[in-house]
Amino acid sequence: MSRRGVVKINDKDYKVGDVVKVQAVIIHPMDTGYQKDKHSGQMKPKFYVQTITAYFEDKKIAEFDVGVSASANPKIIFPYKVTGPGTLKVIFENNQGEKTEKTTKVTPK
Amino acid sequence: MERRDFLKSTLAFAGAAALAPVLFGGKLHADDNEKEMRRFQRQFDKFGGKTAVDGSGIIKLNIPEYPENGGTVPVEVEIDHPMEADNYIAKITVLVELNKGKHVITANYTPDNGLAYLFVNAKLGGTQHVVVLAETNTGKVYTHKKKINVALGGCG
Repeated sequence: MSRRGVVKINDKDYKVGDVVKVQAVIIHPMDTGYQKDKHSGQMKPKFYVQTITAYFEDKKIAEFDVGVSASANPKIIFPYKVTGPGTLKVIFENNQGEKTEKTTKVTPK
Repeated sequence: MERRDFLKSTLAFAGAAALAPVLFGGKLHADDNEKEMRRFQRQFDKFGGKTAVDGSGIIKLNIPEYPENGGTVPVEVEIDHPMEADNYIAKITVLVELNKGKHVITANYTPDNGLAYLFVNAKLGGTQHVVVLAETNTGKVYTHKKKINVALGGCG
């Protein structure tokens, strides 16, 4: 099952050498493992996004270890220094090993 | 005479009964917080808090002091530190003190990022401190914290 999510560059006009802010969001619950289900009364198991990894043309830029105290539908913004045109890829992985991949184009002026 | 004694004893008993929950309740609550703080301290040490120095001069935390909702609290971290090949911020960690799960996020950065900046939405169960740890590639750790007052807690 593919999850909805988005990766985009928040800045409009940028050149090579500029630092842009990249926003990554995924629609995903963040169950902490400390809550009870309202209907069944059972404890909800942990189910959350565990790692977010950002690549530019297969070179790793940044890696995020996410904990259960991040909000539901986690949103992060991280900086990236533009080196040239290419593809920025972000991979979200949850604690059950399910991977979601989102990409965006980097087109400096 | 009997009536007077009876009244005295009942009044004293009623007074003690009224006071007891305040005393015990307060104490229990304090113990609870202490326990959470001990757990927080362990996490804090795990992320390099043992050698941390005060970084309030270089770390800027941009968090609303009274957020509308504890479920999504925007946390913006800006660190005034160069991002050069041999001198950069390698890790930014965001922790919360009193949630059961203390860890919000750890960002592992490379010099390609060009700026020490991080935005993340956190979840806060109640009024507490948000603590940020920034570790350079040489192992120096800076820390800074800010108190956030949450009226309507998100599930912690």
